[in-house]
Amino acid sequence: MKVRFKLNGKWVDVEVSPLKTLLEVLRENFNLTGTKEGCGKGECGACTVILDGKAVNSCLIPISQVDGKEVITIEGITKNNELHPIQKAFIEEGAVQCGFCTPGFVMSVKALLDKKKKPSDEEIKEAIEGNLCRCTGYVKILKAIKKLIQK
Amino acid sequence: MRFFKVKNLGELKKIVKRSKEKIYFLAGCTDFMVYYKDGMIEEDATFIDISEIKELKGIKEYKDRIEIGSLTTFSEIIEDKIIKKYAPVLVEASKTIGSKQIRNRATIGGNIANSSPAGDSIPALYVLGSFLKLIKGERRRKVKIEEFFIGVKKNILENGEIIERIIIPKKKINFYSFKKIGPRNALSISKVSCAISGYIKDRVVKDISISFGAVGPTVIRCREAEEFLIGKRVSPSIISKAKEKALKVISPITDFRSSGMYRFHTAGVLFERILKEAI
Repeated sequence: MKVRFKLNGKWVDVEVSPLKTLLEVLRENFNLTGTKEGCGKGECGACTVILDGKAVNSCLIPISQVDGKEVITIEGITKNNELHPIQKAFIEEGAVQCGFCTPGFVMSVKALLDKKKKPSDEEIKEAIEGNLCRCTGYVKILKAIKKLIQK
Repeated sequence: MRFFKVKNLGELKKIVKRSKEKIYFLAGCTDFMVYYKDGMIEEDATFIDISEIKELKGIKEYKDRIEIGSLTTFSEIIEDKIIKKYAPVLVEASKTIGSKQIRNRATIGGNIANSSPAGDSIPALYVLGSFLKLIKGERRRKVKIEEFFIGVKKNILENGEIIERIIIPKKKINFYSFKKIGPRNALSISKVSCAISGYIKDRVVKDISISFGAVGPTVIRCREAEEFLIGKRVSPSIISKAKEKALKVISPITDFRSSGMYRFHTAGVLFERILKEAI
């Protein structure tokens, strides 16, 4: 199946099986390995990307459903080689340990902040409820997000 | 594998008509892709991606009912004002489904078609007295939600038939709740769930509907307990009598998620917890 979609601001074409997942296409066809595969079943959120403005699990999306849409991955949020403010906030607060879950968290937070500049604590927790972290813990991640919002 | 992506019901009709083999429909894919990866999907089949059929999207209000397109996502349901007004228990149940990422993709039609007794939108749809409009080619039929399910992950859909929309009759509602028990809030499949929707004035029950999820082969409606409660003033003793009647119709089993005994006990706890909010 031929699929055309906007990837990090540029239209791209790819010909793959329609049931190949968006995650597989990103990593294998475009070498964008910043998006991680954790569980592969929509439970961990490591594969989170933004599809038409919404946070989604790229491991559960058949590529046929991406045709004509816009995808933003962790590679697409830096500008002029400078880290995104969310990434900086995570580093400043030490909200990263092994780092495997971080791209997914950053994309979930970006999807939230793109819609709402000053979300409530509840809205922040809801936005990252689908992202699992197994080493840093959530306190530092929440701190990083809150600090960023206050700026 | 024969794969098609259709843009409208007309295109869908043509492909369904010429497919003789098993058809899989793809909507939100949050369950389908998991089954596919686990090898539970037959490869020698027709796959139809219906995710962009416009006629199956959106929420409409009519004089006596609201209609929800089967491709409406749970995120859309949670944010919709019409549903909040006429089916608030469905909003409450939808909030408990999956995670933000899942709710952004998962559709209400998919949750129903998947037909798990633990599907969290289903107890809410039961207590709202919902109907489903099904479509296969030219033929449409309308069924009560209770008549749709025939067992664990089994329903009356024929090969090539899909859910077109969900119809919810308008009713006077001032009391509602959906509660579920799972290991954590997000991304948990219910061990047991309970939905109640009704109209209670000065603690007297004028109208009430009660259902349980994950404690039988399908979601279960508790008619006897409903009839018992109507006209009564809610009090601790009435709640405990109603609970006995409600639990008579459930038949929880033990599986990897919970034990039958725990499910039976907890179903009663959820029921009491919800009704106590009326006192």
